[in-house]
Amino acid sequence: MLFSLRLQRWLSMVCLPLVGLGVWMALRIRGLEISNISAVRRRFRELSRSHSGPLLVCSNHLTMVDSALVIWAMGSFWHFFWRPSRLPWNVPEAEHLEHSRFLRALCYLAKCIPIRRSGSAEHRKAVTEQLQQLLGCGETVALFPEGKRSRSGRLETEDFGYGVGELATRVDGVLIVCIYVRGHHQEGCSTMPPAGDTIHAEVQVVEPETPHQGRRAARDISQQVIGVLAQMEERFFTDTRCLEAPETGHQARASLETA
Amino acid sequence: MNREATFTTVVELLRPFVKNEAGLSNVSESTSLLEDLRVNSARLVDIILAMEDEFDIEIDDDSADKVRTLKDAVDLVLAKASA
Repeated sequence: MLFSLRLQRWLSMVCLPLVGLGVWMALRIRGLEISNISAVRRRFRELSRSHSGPLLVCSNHLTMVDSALVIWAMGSFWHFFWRPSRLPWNVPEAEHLEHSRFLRALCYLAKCIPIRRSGSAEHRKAVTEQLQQLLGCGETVALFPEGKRSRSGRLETEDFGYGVGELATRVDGVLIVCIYVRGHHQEGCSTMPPAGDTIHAEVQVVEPETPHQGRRAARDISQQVIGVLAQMEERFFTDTRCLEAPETGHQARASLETA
Repeated sequence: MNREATFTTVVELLRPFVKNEAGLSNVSESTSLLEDLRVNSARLVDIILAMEDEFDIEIDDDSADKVRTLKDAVDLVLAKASA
């Protein structure tokens, strides 16, 4: 692993109590909670025990704090403290961090490698190589296969990148884990989830199969991952949302405002 | 392989991925795929794969990364087809 990445990893672990607590408190102050957090964390603990190699965590993308929600769902502070390689590296859009030194520092300490989607092929290639190195060292990387927040509010199944497949084809022994995270009142793309919302998370391991190699295999695998996330989304709307439909703070506030 | 025919075929292959369709009306070899036609960078992979299928060629990653304009795409196809 590159020295710069090793240093970033070390600093992130040193600052984990502070950064983790800060982010967790910000989410809690917003009134967010994850309804099935115990089950999701149990699933990730099982995966950590059964698979010692790298994890590629793929999630849907609707808000600017989805990475934090995914990490919160994946494990507790102690889970990541004892298994630092399971705290995922994230790849936020560099443009969102340009205006704030604080955000840049926070993202650095939260194991982020910013990418410029509109950047040159060389830049994107350099970021991919860094992620490849990290996975090669058994680290966990979290990606949004859609590449950006879905503007329609539903999973983008047509126009998505092939980064997930590219990494999966280049690194041996990568386990792809899809996690669908969504608040019950999250209708579309937004900066933050609605205040007081209850988040539901679902985890599913993907075992992609492809007869192809190279970029054809990357496309094939990425399509399979998006397919699994789309199925999870369907389940969210047909089963979960109908069954759980909690009376959240958001609803309560809306009722108060109406009154 | 004829350069003009290759150019026309490449433009047709690009068509489904072009966001700025007006850009296709006065397309030339200097037209940039990303800036002028506003092709999503993620779709470049699909275009390269479509070119491989259409012209029965294999394009390596380094060559694919260098495709910026229609001229680059046509040159690449002609070079690979004659190799």
